[in-house]
Amino acid sequence: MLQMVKRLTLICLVCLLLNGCEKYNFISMVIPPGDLVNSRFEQSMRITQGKAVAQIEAADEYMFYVCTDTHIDKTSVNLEAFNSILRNDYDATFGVMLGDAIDRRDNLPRYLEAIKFNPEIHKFDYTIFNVIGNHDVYFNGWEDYKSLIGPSVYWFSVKTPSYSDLYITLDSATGTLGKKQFDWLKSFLAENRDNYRHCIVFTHVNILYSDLSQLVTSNLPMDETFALLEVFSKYRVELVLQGHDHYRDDQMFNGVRYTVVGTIEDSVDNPEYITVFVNDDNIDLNWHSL
Amino acid sequence: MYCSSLLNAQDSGISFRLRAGDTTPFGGFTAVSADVNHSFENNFAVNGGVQYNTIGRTATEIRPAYSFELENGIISVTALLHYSHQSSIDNFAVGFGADYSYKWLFLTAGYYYRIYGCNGSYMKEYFNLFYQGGLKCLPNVDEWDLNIYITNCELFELERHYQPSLMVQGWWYPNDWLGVNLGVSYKHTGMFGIASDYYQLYGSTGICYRW
Repeated sequence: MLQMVKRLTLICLVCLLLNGCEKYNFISMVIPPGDLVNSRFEQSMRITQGKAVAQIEAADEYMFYVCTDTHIDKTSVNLEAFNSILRNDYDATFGVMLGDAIDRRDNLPRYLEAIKFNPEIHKFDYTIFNVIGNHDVYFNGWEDYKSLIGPSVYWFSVKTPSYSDLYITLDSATGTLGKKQFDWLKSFLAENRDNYRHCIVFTHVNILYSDLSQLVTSNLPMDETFALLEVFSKYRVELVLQGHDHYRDDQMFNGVRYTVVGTIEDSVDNPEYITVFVNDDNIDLNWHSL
Repeated sequence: MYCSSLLNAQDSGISFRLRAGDTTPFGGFTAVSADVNHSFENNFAVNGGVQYNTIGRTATEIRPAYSFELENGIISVTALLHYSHQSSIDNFAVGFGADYSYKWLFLTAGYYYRIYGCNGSYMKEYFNLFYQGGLKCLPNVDEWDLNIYITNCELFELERHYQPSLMVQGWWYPNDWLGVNLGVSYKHTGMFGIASDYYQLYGSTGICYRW
């Protein structure tokens, strides 16, 4: 009994320590760490006015780069390497980071420094689109995110000579899309999906719970999961790219491919990123070790 | 005890319940359910029923249990069979676990396997846990029950292990055969490492006929 009390005390002390140094926000598991997702959605819509944040020109066949969960703390070696590979690739079109950019508050400037274009070492000034993750909103991190990166819910398109492709970025950082974002997603897809060749969605939290690596990572509640699966299938979303779990996963469900990209964090043994090739018929993924 | 909807039911009865509340992403909802508990003389009991929720979910569930009376409390071995249909998806779960109940305390823990599918596609979830734990605030009062607990395995609503609800349920038993229920449930996201957010709040009421 005494041993158990000692262990619990130690766990509580470690939690308080991590909370105190603004690394893990354990209190936020009960008390929201800042604005709720409905508020973040409204603020995002005010920023974008509901319009595309970008229209990227590309050939009918093009490719883009994706990494996730950089968790920038003291170092940013892998992210800088990813940034260099992307920005020196003639065939690339843009980059995406699928959330958890930082490991503790106040590290966002360091993250932005690691992904910026440097004309001395980089050839191409591609846009890198960001997805908001749970670590990004810890300790009211949304205020920093909003001012330094921008909206958490937005869309952009890729215009090719013959087609347009639709890309939607969702905010699942607090484990739910919220009613306002969910309603917007349904009506937006209903109105716009048919105008585009392909549709790809980016979100941080995982839609499917397919393996044991997700045992300790929280995702969406069941009824929201089922509702989202139905929406994605109904509106022919072809690919849903996610981060969060830190381990690669790739599943098909009812015509939609759900892919989790492994982390590119400095501390892991096998950091990875993916390249996505888009053409008339297919969307193909290639995994790369860093 | 049965009307409190704890898994280690010792009585027999039938309950009718109504829920009304707000949930993400559907907004306002109501749900009606009926469930029967029957206790046999040989320590076996079975609890099962159906629920319809206006979010578009129909669910049915059955939970057989076998109880042992201990010196300090009651322990039950429980099985769980769940089926629900929502958003074009058929959702099956099968599990087993154990319940323990003693004076102020009740606990449930178990494992379940889930498979859900739609149009020939299916997903398997090999490792899910269900649990329930809380306090009986009025253990020595015959006419009243007041239970405060967390659960991810409320009857008809089997959540993943990272998604518990906080529940307060009160029962009034004006006589031996009738029970009247009032309750409130709050669910937020964000356990197990995600920052939290509001998800669901509902109130419930019901009656239970006991025999």
